[in-house]
Amino acid sequence: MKIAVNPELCTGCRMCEMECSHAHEGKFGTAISRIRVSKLEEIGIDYPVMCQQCANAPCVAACPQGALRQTDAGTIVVDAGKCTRCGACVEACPFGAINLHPESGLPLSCDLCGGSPSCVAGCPTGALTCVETKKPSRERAKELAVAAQGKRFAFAEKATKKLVEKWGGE
Amino acid sequence: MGWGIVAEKCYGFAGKTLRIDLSNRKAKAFPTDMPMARQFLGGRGFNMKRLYDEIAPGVDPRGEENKYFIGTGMFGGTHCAMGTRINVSGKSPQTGIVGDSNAGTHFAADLKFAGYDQVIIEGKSEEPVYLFIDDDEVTFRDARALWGKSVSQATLAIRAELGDPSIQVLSTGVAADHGVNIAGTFFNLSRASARTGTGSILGSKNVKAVAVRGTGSIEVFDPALFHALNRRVKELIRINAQYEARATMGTTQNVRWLNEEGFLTVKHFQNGYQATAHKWEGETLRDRYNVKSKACFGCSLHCSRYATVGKGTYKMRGEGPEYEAMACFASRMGSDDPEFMLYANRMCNEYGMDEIAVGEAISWLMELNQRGIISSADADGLDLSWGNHETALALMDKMAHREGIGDLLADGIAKAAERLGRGSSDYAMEVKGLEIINGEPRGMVGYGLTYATADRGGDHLRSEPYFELKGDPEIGEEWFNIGSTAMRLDHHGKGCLVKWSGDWCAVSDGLEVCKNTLVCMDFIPYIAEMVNAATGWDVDKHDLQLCGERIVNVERCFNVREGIRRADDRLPKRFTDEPMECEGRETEGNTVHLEYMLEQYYRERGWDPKTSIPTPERLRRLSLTAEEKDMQVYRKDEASQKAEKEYRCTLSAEELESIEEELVAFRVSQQGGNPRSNASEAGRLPQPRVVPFAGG
Repeated sequence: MKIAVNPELCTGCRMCEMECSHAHEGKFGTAISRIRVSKLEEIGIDYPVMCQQCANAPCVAACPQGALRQTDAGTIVVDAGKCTRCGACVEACPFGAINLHPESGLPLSCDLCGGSPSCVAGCPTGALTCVETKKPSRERAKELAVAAQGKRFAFAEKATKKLVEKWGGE
Repeated sequence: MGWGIVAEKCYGFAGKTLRIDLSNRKAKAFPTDMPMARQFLGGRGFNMKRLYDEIAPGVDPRGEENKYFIGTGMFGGTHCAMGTRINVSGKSPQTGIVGDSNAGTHFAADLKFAGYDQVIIEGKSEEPVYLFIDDDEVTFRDARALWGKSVSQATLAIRAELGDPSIQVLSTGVAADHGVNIAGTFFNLSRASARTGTGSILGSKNVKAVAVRGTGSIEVFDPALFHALNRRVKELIRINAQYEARATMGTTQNVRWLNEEGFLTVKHFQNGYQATAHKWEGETLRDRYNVKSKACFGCSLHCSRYATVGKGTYKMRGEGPEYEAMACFASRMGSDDPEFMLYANRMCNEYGMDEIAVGEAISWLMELNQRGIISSADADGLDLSWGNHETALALMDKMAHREGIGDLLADGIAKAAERLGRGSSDYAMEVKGLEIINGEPRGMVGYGLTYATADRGGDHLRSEPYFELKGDPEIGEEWFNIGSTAMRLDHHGKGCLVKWSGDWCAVSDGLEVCKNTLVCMDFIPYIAEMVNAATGWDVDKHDLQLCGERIVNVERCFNVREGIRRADDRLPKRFTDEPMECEGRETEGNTVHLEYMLEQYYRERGWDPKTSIPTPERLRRLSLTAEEKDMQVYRKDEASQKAEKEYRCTLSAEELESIEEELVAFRVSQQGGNPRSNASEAGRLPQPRVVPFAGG
C-alpha cells in the first residue's frame, strides 16, 4: 500500500502533519510528523511528502550500522539499539522524507500507521488516498507470462547465435 | 541555548511569552501568564490586555513607546478543525485608538512550535532589521536590502537567506517602508491582517519582518478526547448546510445574494444594485479563475482559493480575493472586471496595504469628482471617472509611496478628508477613522450598529451579527425570544444581538479560531468541550462568553482613555439619513435607525449611554478592578462632561418601552431556564455516526 497525493485537492492545511504527530506521539508538532507539506506559496502548490517506499531504499543502504530495514510493505523500520542518530539516512533520502526526532534523535519515517494511515483518514478534502499495490489479476498474470515466454525465447536465441552459426546448414 | 525557564505544564498553550526589545537588541522569554489566560483566553485577549496595561494614554503610535503584539490561541498548532488564526495589535497609527487585526495563517502554529503564545515587540531599531525566532534563539538580522521590497519579495528573500523554504514569515510591504499609515501585516504572501495599520507600527520601528521556525510540539490535556471532539467538529463542518458554498467560494459567494437583495456596495454606497455584478461574482471566479482551494492551518473548511488569470493585461496568479477586496476593486469603484479585480487584489497585497482603506480612497475620490468637489487637477491629472482601472492602480502606487495625491490618502480617509476640506468629510465612509467595509448597513442594520460601536472603528469583525441574515423570525424567537433579531431590516432586538455577537467574536479571537465556523456556522455549542479537552479547565459556554465580554470592555476602556465617547459611536450620515437606492429591490428606501439600537446596546452592555464608559458595576462583575479604578477619573473628565452635556435622547416613550421589553425577553433567553436558549442550527443537524468520547 502507498499513500497517493492529489495536488489539485490539497489545500495546504497541514492537518495531515497534526494527525500524524497525534497518532504517533500523542501530541502535535511539525517536526515530529512523518508527513510534511511542502508549501510552494509563490506558485500555489501544496504537496505532502512522505516515505516513497523505494525499491532498494537508499536510506537502508546508507545506514553505516545496518539499523534500517525495509519491510515487505516497503516501509522503513529502525532498530533503535543499533541507530547512532548520525543522520546518514536523512542525507540519503532523495525526497526529504526522513527526519530525526527532535528529542530522541531517531529517524522518523512513514509506517502507514500499520495499514490505516491517520493522515489519510484526517485529510479534509481527500487529497491523500491509499493506493493498494495489489497482486495482478488472472488475465494480467497470463499476459505477463506470455510476454515473459517471448523474452526467454529471444534471450535463448541471442545467447546461442554463435553456436548456430558454427553448426551451419540452412 | 535555552531560556533557563521551566514553564509550568499548561496544556494547549506553548508556555512562554517572548519580549523583544529593539532599542537594546535584547530578547527575553517568560512563562505565559496562565491566570491571564483564564480571564482573556489568549490571542486578541492577551494583546488587548497588554495594550491596556503597557501603552500609556496619549502615546505616539509611531513612537518608540508604542508596541506591537503578536497573539496566538490555545488551539494553534493542533489539528483543531476550526482553523488557526492570529492577532497583531498595538495603538493604531491610522486611528490613534485600538489597533488590531486578525489573519488565518501558518505563522501562528509555527510560533507555538517554537514555544511562544505571544510576542511583544517594543522600542525602535536604529537600522532596518528583521527578526528571526528559531526556537530558543532570537536574532536581529540586517534588513536594509529588504527595505522597499514587496511582501512576496521580502518573504521569499528571507526564506532564501535563511536557507529554509518552510520558514514562516510575517512581513510588511512597500507601503510600511514609506511611512504609510494604512499598511498591513502579511503572512503566507497574501494573508493580510491589515486593518488599523498594523504594518505601519512595524515600519515605524524599522522592522521589515518576523521569521519563525519551531521544532517543538504542543500537548493537550486529553489527546484522545480532543481528537474525538475534533473529529465530530470536522464531520459537522462537512455536513453543514453552508459547507459546499463556503468550501468552493468562501466569502466571494456574497456578491450574488447581496446584489439580488439590493445591498451590494455600488459606486461608494450610492446604490445597492449593479446590473453586471454576475461578471465578477463568486460563481464566476469558481468556474473560470479558481484552480484550487486553500486553507488556514488545520482548517477543514478551506474557504480560500488560489486563482489564475492566464492571459491579457491583468495576467496574475495568487491566493484570494475575499469579498471585501473584490467589492473594493469592482462595484465600490464602479467596475465589473473580474480580471482587473484579481490583479488589483494581488497588487494591493504586494504593496502591503489595507484593501478596504485603499478601496475607500479610490471610490471616495471618484464620488467627489462626480459631485464636482474635486477634479483630475486635484489628483495629479488622473481621470477620476467611475471604474477607471489605470487610475485605481496609479492611486494605489502613489499611496504606497506617499507620492502626490497618495500622500494625502496614506493616513486613511478621515485624515484625508480633514486635510482636503470642501465638505469632503460628509462623503468619507469611516467610523473612528477606520474605513467602512463593503457591507451596506441600510441592508443589514445590525451591522450598522456593529460599525458604530466597534472599538477598532468601522468594521464588522468585532461583533458580526451574522444571525440577522437568517431571515426567519422563528429562529430569532428560538434563540433570543425576539423574532426580529433574525431579520436584517428590523431594528428591534439588535442592540442585544450585537452585544451577544460582540462577546462571541471576542471569544473567537481569543481562542484564535475562525468566526466563520464558530459564530456564523453556529459551532458555539461545541466550543467549551474543546477548550476543556485542550486545557484541562472546566468551563462552560457562559464562562467563555464572559471572557469575551471582558476583552470587549478592556478595549473600550483603552479607547475611553484616548478620548473616545458616545459621539464617536456614530455612522456616516448617508446611512442614517439617505434612503437606500437599489432599483426597487428588497432593501429600497431603508435607513439605519441607529439611536434605537445604540440605546439598547449600551443598556445590555452595561455602559453609560451618555458617555459610553462601562459602568462600575459591569467592570466589577468582569473582575476588571484596575480598569474600574482608572475609569473613575475618566467618568468626570472634560470629555465626559461634554458628552453628558451634549447627550440628547430623541426616542419616544413607546420606543424606550420596547427597548426595555426586548431587553427582558433577551435576558430570559440567555438564562438556563429557557430550554430553547442553547439550541442551535448545528445542534439540529444529524449527528455523525461515531462519536467516541473519552478514551475512544
